[in-house]
Amino acid sequence: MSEKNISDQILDKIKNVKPKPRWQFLFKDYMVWFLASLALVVSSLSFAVVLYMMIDNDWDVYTSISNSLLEFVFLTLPYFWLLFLGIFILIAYYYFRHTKKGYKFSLSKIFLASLIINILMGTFLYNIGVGKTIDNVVSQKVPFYKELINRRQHIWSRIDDGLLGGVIVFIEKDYIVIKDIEGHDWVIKHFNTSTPGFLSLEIGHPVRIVGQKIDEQNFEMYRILPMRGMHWMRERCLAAKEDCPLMNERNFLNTRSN
Amino acid sequence: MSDIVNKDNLNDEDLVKLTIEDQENFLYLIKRYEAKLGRYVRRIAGLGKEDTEDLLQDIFIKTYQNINSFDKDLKFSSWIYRIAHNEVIDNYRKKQSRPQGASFDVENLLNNLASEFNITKDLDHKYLQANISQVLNVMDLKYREVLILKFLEEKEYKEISDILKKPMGTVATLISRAKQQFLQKMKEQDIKL
Repeated sequence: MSEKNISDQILDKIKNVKPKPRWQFLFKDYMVWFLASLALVVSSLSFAVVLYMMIDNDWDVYTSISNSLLEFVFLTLPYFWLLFLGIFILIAYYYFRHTKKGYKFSLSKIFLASLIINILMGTFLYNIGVGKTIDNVVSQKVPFYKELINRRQHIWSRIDDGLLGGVIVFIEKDYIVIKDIEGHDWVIKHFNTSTPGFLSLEIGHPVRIVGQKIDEQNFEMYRILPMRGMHWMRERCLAAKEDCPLMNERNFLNTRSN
Repeated sequence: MSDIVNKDNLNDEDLVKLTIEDQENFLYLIKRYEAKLGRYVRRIAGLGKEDTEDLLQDIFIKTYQNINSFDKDLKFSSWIYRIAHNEVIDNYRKKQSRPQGASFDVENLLNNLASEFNITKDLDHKYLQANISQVLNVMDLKYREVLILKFLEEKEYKEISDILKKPMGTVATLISRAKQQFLQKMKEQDIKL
């Protein structure tokens, strides 16, 4: 077969072939960029939740929860969100690599850029409260989230270990009543208590109590602290008619300074 | 006739524009790349004449079908070599067989590899023709291809990066590993340079 024949054959074959329209390629390019950006946004949202769960963690009472700081970190690391973050960084990498010029950049450069974007965008989203909102919404909407993913509920239900999380439903002169996460009422006498100066007990406030179970209704309190994270517990403000304040130490400090 | 002469003097990118307007102009690009790509495909795929021509036709048809996606930031030659590379890989996967029997232009190869491998140029060419081709044929496709692109097609690192769609650093690593494998295979087959 001569070279001329090949050229002619090709021309013959493409006679009935039309080039794919330019818009198809442009659409594909935009889609790839859109998916890469979307994956980056989702990974940044995950980063915001990770940040929220790490910051609003029980660092102040970790010695009551675990035997060591390391054990506490392993116990409370937001594995699901870290996995989610990792998966979406990989997806972002995959799509970025498939953009027109994506192949020019090495794996390490793309990962580094993704990480920087995640840190910046994730921190911003955390600061405007997106991390908290996601955790809160998912806690309420997704079954098993509180049991399997954000396991702080589990930690503050370890009543036999002296960890009681709940909402104040009744305040008397020498005792308070707490409705725990499962909905049981506990009578707590005010003894052996080191309450932070900024914590004023109010009905509807979610709190963490470190102490000791006396019997099926009574709990001895050593420390009472405002609940950190777990904002879905606001829904448990059963006795309070007015809007319950979001509970964390920063809110308390702000309230006091006002 | 004068029209043909004029178009022959146009650069690739202008011919792409003209091809989009009129299919007939694609002939100039075919003529320009037919021999180069034929050689390249033969070298990396190690196919027989007919299979090479079939593959070449597929490459040009695909090039024409995708002509609207040509990125003007690239050299046209890098783009069409990229299509050829992809077609060879597809063909390789479909047939699931190792390419065999490709012969290489040892004269050219020797000139380009001489400084890289300290090759003594006065060795028997027939000996080298047989043995170097044999070594290249048993090399991994990815290593053989970068050696061919670098030392036979004489492409720059950036062009190889554009053809293989790999970062420049990865191309450098591939070439370095390809050289190592080339020397190792030479050693295994007891071929002296």
